[in-house]
Amino acid sequence: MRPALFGLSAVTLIVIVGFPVVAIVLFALFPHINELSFREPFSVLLPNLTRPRLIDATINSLSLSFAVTLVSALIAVPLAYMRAKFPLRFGQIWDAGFLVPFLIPPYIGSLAWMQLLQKNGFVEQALGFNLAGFLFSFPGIVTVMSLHLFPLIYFTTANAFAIIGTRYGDVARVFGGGPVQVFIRIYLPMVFPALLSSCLIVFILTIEEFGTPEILGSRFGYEVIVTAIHEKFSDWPIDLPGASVLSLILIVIAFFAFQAHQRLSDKFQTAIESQTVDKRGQPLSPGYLFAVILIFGTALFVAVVMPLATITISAFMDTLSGGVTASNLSFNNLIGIFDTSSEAWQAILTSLTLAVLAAVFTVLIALVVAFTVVRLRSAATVFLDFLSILPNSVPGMAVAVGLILTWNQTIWPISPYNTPVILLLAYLCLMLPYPVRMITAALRQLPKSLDDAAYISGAGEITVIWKVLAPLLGPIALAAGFIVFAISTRELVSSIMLAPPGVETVATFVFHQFDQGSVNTGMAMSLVAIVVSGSIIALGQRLQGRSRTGSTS
Amino acid sequence: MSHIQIRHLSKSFGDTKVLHDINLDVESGAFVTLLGPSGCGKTTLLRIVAGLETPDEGVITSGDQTFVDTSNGVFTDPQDRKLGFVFQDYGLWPHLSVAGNVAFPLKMAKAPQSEIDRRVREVLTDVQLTEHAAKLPEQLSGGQKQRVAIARALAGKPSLILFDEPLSNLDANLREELGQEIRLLSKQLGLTCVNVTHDRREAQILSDSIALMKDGVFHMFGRPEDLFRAPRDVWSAQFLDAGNILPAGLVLQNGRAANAKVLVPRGAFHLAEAVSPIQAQALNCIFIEDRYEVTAVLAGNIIKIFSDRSVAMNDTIHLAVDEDAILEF
Amino acid sequence: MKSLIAAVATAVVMAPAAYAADLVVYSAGPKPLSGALAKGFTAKSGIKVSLFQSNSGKVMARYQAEKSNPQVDVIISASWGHAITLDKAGELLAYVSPEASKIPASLKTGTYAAQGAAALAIAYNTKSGLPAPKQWGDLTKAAYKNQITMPDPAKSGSALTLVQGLVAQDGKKAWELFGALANNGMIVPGANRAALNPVLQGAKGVVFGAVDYIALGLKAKGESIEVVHPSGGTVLAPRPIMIAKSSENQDAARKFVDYVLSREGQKHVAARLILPARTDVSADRPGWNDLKIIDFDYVAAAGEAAETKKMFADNTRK
Repeated sequence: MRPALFGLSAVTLIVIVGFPVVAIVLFALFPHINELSFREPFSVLLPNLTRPRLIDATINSLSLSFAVTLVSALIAVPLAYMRAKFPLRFGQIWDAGFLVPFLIPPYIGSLAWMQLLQKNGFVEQALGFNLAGFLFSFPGIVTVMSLHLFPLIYFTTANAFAIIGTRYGDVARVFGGGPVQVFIRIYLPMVFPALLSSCLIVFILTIEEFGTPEILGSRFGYEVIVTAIHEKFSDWPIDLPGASVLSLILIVIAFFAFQAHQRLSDKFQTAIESQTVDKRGQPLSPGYLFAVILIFGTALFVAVVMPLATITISAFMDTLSGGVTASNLSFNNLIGIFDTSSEAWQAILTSLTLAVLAAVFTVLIALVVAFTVVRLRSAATVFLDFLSILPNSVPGMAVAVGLILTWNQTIWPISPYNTPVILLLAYLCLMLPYPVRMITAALRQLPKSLDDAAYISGAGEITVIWKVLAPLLGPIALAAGFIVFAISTRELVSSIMLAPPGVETVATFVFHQFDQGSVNTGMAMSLVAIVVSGSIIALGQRLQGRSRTGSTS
Repeated sequence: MSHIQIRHLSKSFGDTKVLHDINLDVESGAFVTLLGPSGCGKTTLLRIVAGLETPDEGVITSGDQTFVDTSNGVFTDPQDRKLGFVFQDYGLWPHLSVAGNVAFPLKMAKAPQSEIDRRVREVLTDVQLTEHAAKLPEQLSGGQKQRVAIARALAGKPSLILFDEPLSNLDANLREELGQEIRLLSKQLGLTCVNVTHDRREAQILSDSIALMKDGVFHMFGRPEDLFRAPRDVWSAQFLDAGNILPAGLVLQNGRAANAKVLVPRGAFHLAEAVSPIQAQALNCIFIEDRYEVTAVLAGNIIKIFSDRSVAMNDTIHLAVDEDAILEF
Repeated sequence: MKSLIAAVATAVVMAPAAYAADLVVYSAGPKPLSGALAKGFTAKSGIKVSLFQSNSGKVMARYQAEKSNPQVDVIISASWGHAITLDKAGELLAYVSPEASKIPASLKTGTYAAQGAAALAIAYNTKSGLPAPKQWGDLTKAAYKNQITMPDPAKSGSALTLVQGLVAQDGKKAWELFGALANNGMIVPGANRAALNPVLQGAKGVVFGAVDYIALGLKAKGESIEVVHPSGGTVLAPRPIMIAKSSENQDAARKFVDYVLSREGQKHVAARLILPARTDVSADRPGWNDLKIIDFDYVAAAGEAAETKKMFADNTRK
């Protein structure tokens, strides 16, 4: 039975993640593999790796990733700590708010920040000053990316705080610890594994992100590895093997980040004694409540309201050059999207379908993989663990090339290539790390006796996962599913490469508007997509909230 | 009739050998405890019996069913061994009600709903929890949680129940009470039970026989009274807290090597009526159950004795010893 | 859920079969143009078109990645250089459409022809208060200090064409021009859109080397932008249409090229304010007779593209 489950995890991960990644590695080594030829092996490796510009780009990538991870953690951890002590009712509203950054594509978010802060931007139009100097600088990029990524750390860490409950802190308070000391000496070490694993995701996502460095960084000559890779994809002659070589660097960085994470998390692994999850929160004094609401409100305003408002205003602007004036605001863009043809609706429907499927499948796969990695721990499962985080380090573009190399072969009797399924495969590959990270972290904190009791009671492994662990991991699995859903609805880079002829997703639609049509129409479409997928997530959370209160009463 | 037979069982984790050539027969209806310090291999042995771990070598049979036989690769999955298991931390599923937890094994066995309802009521009556059936585990006290765990273990009518330190999370009074109940229930239902603990008191309360384990082997095996009365060596006597371990010269005059260790049961010492060559300094005197328990220093050794009268702290006490009760190692 | 899975499953089984029979076209934008051409062609010939729509870079990346099992029949790129390279590699089918007779000789070869062309222009925000520029060199004046953007030749085929054309015409003086522009605070923020948007938004004032049809389209939509074709001469960025040699649908592919280059097809091109390749189709924009075109050897320039980009970067990056 155990080999069967291990086999299932391994085969799934190898097909979804291993194939495209191996294809990229082969492409880096054999530059003519796209013609199924092994000639001129290793010929592109050295010329690419010895470019002096690449060293700068690598240093930039690393410093950017460290800075973004640090800043994200600094924003997220205090918020998560406060959230765990928060009354449930408010907490869910905040949580819904912090999901919004996932819905905003990084390139749209960066364009929004530009629109907001640049010379003659919205802020200047309203308040008379601009922050262009800050925006187009290293701290500017770090801020924009951190505001976009910190919710990942926030959700994982808040969940970890909730699992710990308040008992340990109460003990420390009794022994004379002040609130700050209790936070630093008791809670922080205990959530460290969860914090680390979400920091790892943020680190690797930053290394992989293209939109923000491209849009903001190119304004002050800040080149990172991914922008160099994209140059190889767009700069004629297209250099796919060269791009694969650069992708290898990202994979290597991811590998070392993963190793460092393993080391650290083994060191800080703590077992929580009992699994009672304290979801109630504590009554707060009015003053404290006010302070907490103020802090949450500020975070929400900066990370969510400001970019979202900018996108909304842009969506209603007839012309970019018209500025924010009454005569320049109308519903024309929104009407325009849906008036001309059914393409926009089609694109939304395609994106939603793919996103739902991606969310469901990745969560199911992640449950099995997390179980394999955590409960059947062995040397082989560590490899699976690494495989599951790998896609985060590979740029979407490279994954797309890997998928084409893999599936556009005559050896397959039927192939997903040139069907919408290839997009699903790409999303599964790219999104899998989120649920795997989140569910693995949560599963580590569930006592093993829960599984053992079920085995003894006659359950097989699938039943243990489905009937015992899945319900307990339900909230985190759902949160992971929402994140996958949100990111999938707006995934651009692989979609644009893999979309079969005639198939449009929201992101490719927006991209085409930006590229050839009107920025404001693109913003309008983004806004529609954000509202639609946001509503679906809100609805899902409501339903979940209702079923949870229903079962406990 | 022997219910469980374990033959030549060995297990290593990496380079550490945790079980060496274990052999054990558990009679049908018997309550056997594997007692030993942490790391002695007792929990691993229990988990191997349950099928949660696999041995490197060895055979376990239960009646005519082979649980595991490494010589021919037979391995029965835990769900097919038809046994019950009670965990130290209860292992209750927090998302299921008390009844839901208890019903789980029956659902796994695909019992009809009416049968499940009947059986759940029955076992909850056995553990006196009928009125808590709808509650979630987090609403119960520790003792109640462990009762639910026992009810769940009983639900599928297994003839073998395994316990992993079932009482160690409970306070002393409750431990005594629930321990007695478990023992009684096991006898009423004719269950074969194997228990694992590091707590000799728990072992005494529950067991018909005890296997004392040390470094992956059975160090002693027998009825509780035999173990406690005649520990095999100083280590066993110390671990079992069987009495005072003293150099022979202090209590015996018959010329044995003065440094040899002897075990003097607590009851073998009593306060002498007159002056005695064995003199100790009283450290503490407390009244427990129906007598005094005196802690004293005898030539640098801490001893504990029973007395029917109180002794003042720091008094010099004169002791008589019942030489026949002394055990020489 | 089940019906979704069923839908996807059906798509897996059905889709390859469906696409196999169709003519597969990979086209760089604008999307309404490719859509209109595909629709018009299907209406006329009855042949269905599977259209993959993206930008030139992605179109070519997909083409490259698919080499072991080629899918595409007809490629429309926005970059003439793409056609030159593919032609050199022998990957294009030789075909001269009968419709190409009305296309100027510089915009057609034995294997590929222009579907249309963009002219490179100066686009400036009329609200910016800047004086109207007339020539490329005007932008080195102090009035335009810190107001200029330019698409990056490394990321925009049309910007590269402009650099190649100006260098072919002016040689060293062209490099001095770029140096002077950089000294005048010109930024090179990325592809065409990244250069145009800040000007529309008022953060900057003028684009050096805007793709004219995009700017003209935005002007028609009401953006306060004016497009200037320098009277001293500008370059054309032709958009090649070509048939892959690996195509298994060559007859249909030829018919599609014929349609695109026909008067009807060219009217669709004109409708997007792109300069039609045919001289006998007019558009609501400066036409063949209104523009002074810098003629230069596209093929020779393409051979030096890498150096040109590097020279540009060296002359503009500080």
